[in-house]
Amino acid sequence: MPRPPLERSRLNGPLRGSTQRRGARPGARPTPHSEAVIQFAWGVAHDFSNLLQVILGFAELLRAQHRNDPAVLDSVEEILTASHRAKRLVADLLAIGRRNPPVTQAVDVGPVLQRAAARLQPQLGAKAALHVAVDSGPQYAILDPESLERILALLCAFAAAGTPEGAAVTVRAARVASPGRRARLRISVRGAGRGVDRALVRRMFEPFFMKRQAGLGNGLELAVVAGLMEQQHGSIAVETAPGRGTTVHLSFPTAAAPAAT
Amino acid sequence: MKRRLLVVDDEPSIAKIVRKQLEVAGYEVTVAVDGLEGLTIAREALPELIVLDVMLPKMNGVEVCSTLKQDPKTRQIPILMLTAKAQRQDQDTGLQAGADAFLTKPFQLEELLEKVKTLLERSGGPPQTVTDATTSA
Repeated sequence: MPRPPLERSRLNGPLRGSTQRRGARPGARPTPHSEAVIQFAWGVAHDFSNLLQVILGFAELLRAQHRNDPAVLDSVEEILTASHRAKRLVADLLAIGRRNPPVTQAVDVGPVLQRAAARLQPQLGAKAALHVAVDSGPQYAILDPESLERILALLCAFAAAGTPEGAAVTVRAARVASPGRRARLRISVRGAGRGVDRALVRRMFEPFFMKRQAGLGNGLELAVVAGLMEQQHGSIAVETAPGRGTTVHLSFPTAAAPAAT
Repeated sequence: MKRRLLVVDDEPSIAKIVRKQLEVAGYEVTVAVDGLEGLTIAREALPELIVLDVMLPKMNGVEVCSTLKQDPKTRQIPILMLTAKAQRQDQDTGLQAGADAFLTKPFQLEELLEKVKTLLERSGGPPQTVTDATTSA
């Protein structure tokens, strides 16, 4: 039986019409539903960050005041651990809300990818080996390194979730040049999972869509990736087919190396 | 002598935790619950630093900051702005109004104390032994 062809879709500004760029297809426009979810995410993040401030603040105060009481400390540490996870969630919701664009700069992506890989491999454990490959020499692109690390964490977890036990998740960075167009730096994250059906590719970056489809994570991961990419003026393309894995390509404007000071 | 700070925040729970954290760290803290009250207290009491929320009733934090920074009597008071929105726009507006530093909610105790300490050191004034609230029993 012939294998299904790989489907490659560009998803510039996958959720918002306002940032559609040349080359984006009409299908990448946001649905009213996803716009509503974006607004909702923003509103929740705003109010919840105030509540979280109170929880975190009093828990930290308790920890400082009961440093010699193990029973109290044990409980307080649990509150703090949950609060820090909630803080991460607030940051993700703000990314989906797209109202906090990070400061981008010329960054050599090699060290960022290696640093991210060192953090991510223990989280992936024996489930998947993480392989990183970067074109030789410094590869500068305009981006926010913190956002890139978050994106890689989310995409690697997504890739590993569908990858057979012991298979590899690969991250590759390469400069891509085509005639008449500015060079781009492309970072590709590939997982050998079951792939995504063509009809679903355009919706996989909507909040909660993949959770409904495949029960992955909390359903916000790829929506956060889309928000963070859009805020950095990057673009996303997906290469996938049922049974042939999924590769998410992230594309950033390249940059010259900063002048030495 | 304790250094005197003013906290301006309309959320009672946030004002309370910020006040408590700063008091445990050895500062003397006054709280105002809206922008107008914050402006009045700042002009009368001349605190050594102001922790100022951006979104406030009656007069927002940016307006309060701008007004204080235009007044020769209060312009030297360092202002640490708190924003819940984490919006770059808020920070840009605040910087234009003369804010000296920002903290995005939710922030951690160490971040608050570090910023306050740095701003007070930068502004000079009487030396102060500050208790480390993160290590005190």
